Amino acid sequence: MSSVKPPDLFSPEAGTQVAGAVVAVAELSFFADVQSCERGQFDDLAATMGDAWLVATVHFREGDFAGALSCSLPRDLARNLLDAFTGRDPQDADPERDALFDLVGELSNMICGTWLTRMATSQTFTLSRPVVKMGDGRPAVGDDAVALMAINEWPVLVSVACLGDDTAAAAAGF
Amino acid sequence: MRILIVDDSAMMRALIKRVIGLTELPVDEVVEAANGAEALRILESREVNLLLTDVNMPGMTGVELLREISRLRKWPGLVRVIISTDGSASRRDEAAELDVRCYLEKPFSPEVLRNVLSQAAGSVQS
Repeated sequence: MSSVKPPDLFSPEAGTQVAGAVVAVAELSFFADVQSCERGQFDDLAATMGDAWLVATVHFREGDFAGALSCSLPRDLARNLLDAFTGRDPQDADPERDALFDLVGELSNMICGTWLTRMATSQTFTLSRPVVKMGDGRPAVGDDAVALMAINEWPVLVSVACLGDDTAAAAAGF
Repeated sequence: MRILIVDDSAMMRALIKRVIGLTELPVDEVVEAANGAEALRILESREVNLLLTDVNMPGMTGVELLREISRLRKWPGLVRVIISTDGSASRRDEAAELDVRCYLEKPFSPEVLRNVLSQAAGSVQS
């Protein structure tokens, strides 16, 4: 990935804007309680979770720039949000894997779209279909982490990476 | 009134359908499509009064669908609403040129969707 970051999308304010997007999406669409976490608080929450995490990645392009936003969250949170989103009874049997993946993909899609809209550039952006997979246990908080959040007291990590050039973007499916 | 929901997310279609069910609008049927091409096939096969479409979808996007609807000129009374994560000014301008009655940005509260549906239903009936 390129180390060259376009100023509009990767400014120091980006983390604040991404966190704001998570709050808007979680509160409006999932009726969830959501707040930003300090690193220690996030680590404490993550340490209480099992190894079943889901990771959803949405690639985006705006103008000449391309990047990827990823959301990592525990599977139990995905189920909790699915119940809120669809009106499912929490006592019902485990939802199908496809339903959980669809839900987490839509969550990441809305977070990415809300963030890009709020960055208020004049250009139209394009989002890829979300790619959702099971994570390899608890996620590591890397340099690309832009928002550490707690949704309904479950930890959520949001990362943004710059793909930087057309070749990388093409590899991402644009 | 027949409503067609076009979104590649089954979850989002389910949410919209649920909110429609909570309104007191005179809805006879809600039909679903996962992309623009499927939506066109449905439009060709039955009468639809209100179209609710996402923008970013595989196969045929919502914008491509709306362009095709405009080009074909077969459904002049069809009320068109976009429901999208893309709230950029340029996308809204593009929608305005495609005879879109309302542009609803995701995420939205059920109350906001209900209001949009009521407005759109008024357009269908008038």
